[in-house]
Amino acid sequence: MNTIKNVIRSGLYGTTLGAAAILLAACAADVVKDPGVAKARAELTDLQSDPRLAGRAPIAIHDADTAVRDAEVPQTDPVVETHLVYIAERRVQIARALAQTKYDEDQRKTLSEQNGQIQLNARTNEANAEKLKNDNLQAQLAALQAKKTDRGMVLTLGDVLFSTGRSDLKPGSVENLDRLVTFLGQAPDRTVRIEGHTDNRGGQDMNQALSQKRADSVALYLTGRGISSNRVTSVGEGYNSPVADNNTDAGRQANRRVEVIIQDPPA
Amino acid sequence: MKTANLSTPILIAAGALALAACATVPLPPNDAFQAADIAISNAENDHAADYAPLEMRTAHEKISAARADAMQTDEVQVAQARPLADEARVEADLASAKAHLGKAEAVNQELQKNNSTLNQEIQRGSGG
Repeated sequence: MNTIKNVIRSGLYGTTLGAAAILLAACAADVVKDPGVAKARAELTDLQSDPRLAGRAPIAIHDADTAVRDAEVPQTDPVVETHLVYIAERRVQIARALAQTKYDEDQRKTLSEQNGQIQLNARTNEANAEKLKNDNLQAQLAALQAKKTDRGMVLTLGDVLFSTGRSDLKPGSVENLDRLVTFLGQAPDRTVRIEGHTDNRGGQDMNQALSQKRADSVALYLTGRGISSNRVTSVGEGYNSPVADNNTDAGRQANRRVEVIIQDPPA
Repeated sequence: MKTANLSTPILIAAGALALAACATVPLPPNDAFQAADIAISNAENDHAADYAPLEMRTAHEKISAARADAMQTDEVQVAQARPLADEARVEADLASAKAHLGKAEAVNQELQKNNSTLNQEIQRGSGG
């Protein structure tokens, strides 16, 4: 009785196993192989092996890995497979985008520091250039031998620039004027006031006219060498402002002068 | 009197059958719909349409399709509602991620450009 039961039982068992084997084989044949699965896995691997990105979106990368593994589970329903691949592809793309964003944000710090350094360099360069320029100008002013007064720096051009009673500049007497031109060229904010002066020999009208013409000559020299005329004023003072005693030859020579006042820069 | 006694058990049986039939139609996947709605709303707050217009449009289309499917009587169509809603959600998440990336890259490009411009000005300055 028992042996009969056992035979029946083992027979049934074998049949069940056999049936199960057939079923499994059938499943294996029907499994859908979507190429998107391998593609998604490859893209995820790329991301995970990129040293710049791999550590920068751990949660998103983990989610992507889960989604890819879900897609890698063999499916028989192509609709389900397509859906899982769809999700997996996008989770990988999301992880990559998030990691790249984090990378960019980290880079920003470096870029800001670079920016700060460049600006600092620029300002240092500017300051150095400015100092150099000022030193240069100071040197030029010194070479002009202009005297500092409350009206500005005064460059006195002596009598030697002109022949007696004439207002045209003598050639070869203009070295200091050329230095003045150079200086004015590099200090475009400076203006000049040119004053002609005479000794007290001769009438007021004559001396007024002569002093004006001499001042104009000097002005013309400057504008002729490129100094804008609206930076240059020329006036004749006649014998009204002597600097020396008109009763001596030396004094009168000293009084016969043209003063070029380099006005202080506007405040 | 006799007909009443016969129809009552029939009515009860019919009612039971009807209830059984209702029980086989699944509830709409409201959790999936809500998740998708939130993801789309977040993406819109990020102006994701500027950076990922296709993804945003797809997200909208899929959630609409998901909702429509949930209201069908055909079981196959109803079963599509949840996966579609999930796809709408992931699409919106992707749109958001692209928007953030687009903005981050724009900021960095601006900084790079500033640095280049500054460098150029320094070159010119020292030459002049």
